[in-house]
Amino acid sequence: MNRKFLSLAIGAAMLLSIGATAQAQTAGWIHVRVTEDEGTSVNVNLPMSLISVAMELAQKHAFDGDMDFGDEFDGHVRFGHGNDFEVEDVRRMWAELRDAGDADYVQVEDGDENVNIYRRDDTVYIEVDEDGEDKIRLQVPFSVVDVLLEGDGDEINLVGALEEMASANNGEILQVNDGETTVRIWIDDNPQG
Amino acid sequence: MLIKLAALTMLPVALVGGVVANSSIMIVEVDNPDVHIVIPVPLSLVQVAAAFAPDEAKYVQVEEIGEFLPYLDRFIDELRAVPDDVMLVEVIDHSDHVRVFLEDDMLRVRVDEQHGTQVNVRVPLASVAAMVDAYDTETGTLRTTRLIGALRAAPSGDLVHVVDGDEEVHIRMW
Repeated sequence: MNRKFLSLAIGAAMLLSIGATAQAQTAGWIHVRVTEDEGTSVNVNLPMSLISVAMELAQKHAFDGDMDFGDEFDGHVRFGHGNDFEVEDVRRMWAELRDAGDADYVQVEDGDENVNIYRRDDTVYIEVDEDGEDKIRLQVPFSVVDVLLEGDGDEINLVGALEEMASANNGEILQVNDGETTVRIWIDDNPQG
Repeated sequence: MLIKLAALTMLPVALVGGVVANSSIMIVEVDNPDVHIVIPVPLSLVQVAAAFAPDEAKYVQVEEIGEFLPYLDRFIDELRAVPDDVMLVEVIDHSDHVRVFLEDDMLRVRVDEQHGTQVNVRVPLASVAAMVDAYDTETGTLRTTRLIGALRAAPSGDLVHVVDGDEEVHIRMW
């Protein structure tokens, strides 16, 4: 499997799992499916309440204070002061972008690798192509970013954004297909997905 | 007189026998082409013996795990809420197959490899919960007698079964 692709998928799964945690009370399930053409598959079905406990543990022992989930994780993440950016700056930048209308935000052509991030109507599209095969397609509705950046200071609403993403896309969080490998992450109430 | 003497002589044997009879027995079995070992471990007897062990053996200082145990306790609670047979994790890599699921209040891990290696582990959640209780938060010590008691909470049947070629390891409760 393409290592970069797999790293991205795992990273996305972890990030999204973090975001899923505060939904414990809804007894929902988060599912991750990774399928490779060459015969490997990974199938994970976890209750979000279980992930919530894992994240509280990670909060105290893994992130080493760079990210603060609060004493009882409520879905909001506060960034520490040692970071290279301030959430407030991102918030201001988003406000500018929001008012700017349709635009191409990022276009990178580097050999066989193309990255495009652009806005059409109220959706941000993220597309990555590599060797004409690797493909990442992610559509982020504006409402998701609005919810993510709501609040004050260095706090973002990760879970709220995830919920908005899921509700906007019928539970679907992320789908990636690079031609050889597919990754799907979604939330529902079915333990087996 | 002779009868009394015989009775006194037999008393310790009877006591030990009684303890063993009421005990969960862990059986460790190792089998390979060169050797076949079966070690029955009567846990009640071990627990009683442990009570007479020196304090260093009875109370093991492990302060560093103290902060993790409340999470382990909650993990167990959450796992117990998961319906049986839900496949928590499944990895298929060609002919290798890894499965993690819950069955009868036990976390089960099954690994089947294409070269014939099989690993089958059953972790009784009741035993894990009892192990958490074996930790004394005030002193930061694990009480070994209670750890053994936690093992006794395991239901009868296989706990660990590993088959790797000609070698086989079996740990089961009886």
